[in-house]
Amino acid sequence: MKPGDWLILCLALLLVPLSWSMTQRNSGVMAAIEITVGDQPAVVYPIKDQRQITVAGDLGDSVVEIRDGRVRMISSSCNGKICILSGWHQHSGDNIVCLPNKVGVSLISNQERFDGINF
Amino acid sequence: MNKQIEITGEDRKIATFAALAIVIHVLESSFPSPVPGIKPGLANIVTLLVLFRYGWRFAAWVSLLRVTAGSLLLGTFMSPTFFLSLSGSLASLLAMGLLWTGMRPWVGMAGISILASVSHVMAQLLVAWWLFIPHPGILALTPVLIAAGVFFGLFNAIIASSIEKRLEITV
Repeated sequence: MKPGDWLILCLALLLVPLSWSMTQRNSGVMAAIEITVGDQPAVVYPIKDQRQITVAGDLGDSVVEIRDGRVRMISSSCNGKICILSGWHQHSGDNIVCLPNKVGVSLISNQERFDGINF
Repeated sequence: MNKQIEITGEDRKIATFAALAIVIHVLESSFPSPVPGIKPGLANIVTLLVLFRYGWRFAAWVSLLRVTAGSLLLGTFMSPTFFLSLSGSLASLLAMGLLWTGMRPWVGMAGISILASVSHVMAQLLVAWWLFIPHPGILALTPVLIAAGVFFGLFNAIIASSIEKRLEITV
């Protein structure tokens, strides 16, 4: 082995921990909950929050709960309660929509989610 | 007037080595890999030998013919596999060319093989990320693939240099 061979070998081996620290670290997904009421601009809450948010829709109050990185509708002034029955949501791109009360809850994220990949 | 393409001795040499590389390539692809995405790339032993005996232009011919004809035999021509293979080959040929023309006195087979192999996996990873799986998660494979690249690069270089020592007749 010539000196250049050792140099390349050492540099290549050094690249392993280097690329490890570069790629394993920033796997953090920035996610948030976006709540929209009627025509008003959306309000964004961090998904890390543990809280209940009461918003006033067309018919009355809707209560949204954010807990453990998930979100659900606890109570709503609508008739169908479809929004409540849809349960917990934790994937980015998921939505809870209460049409009668005009309340929308969206899980937004900086990471794109694919419905499917086909080759 | 139809003029026949003249087949030179150089063409025959390239074809011979490419055929050898294709056989290794096809045989290797029939063995399942213990870890998906990682394989030894034994056909590159031929590329290395050709590089050291006949120069970079020969090696480029052999490598690209191997990728094209190998994919035709395996039925992966123009599929994602083919483009990954092609991008890896182009990157490793580029790395080989740089070292071969600029640093020949200081590097031997091991250095060239390792750099070529690491370039190969990095190019494949970037192409896979760019074209096929645009998800940042795929980049988490980088350290594993580089480690495998270094290992098999060195492995192939050891085999190639021991073959080189035994090759006495000039093919």
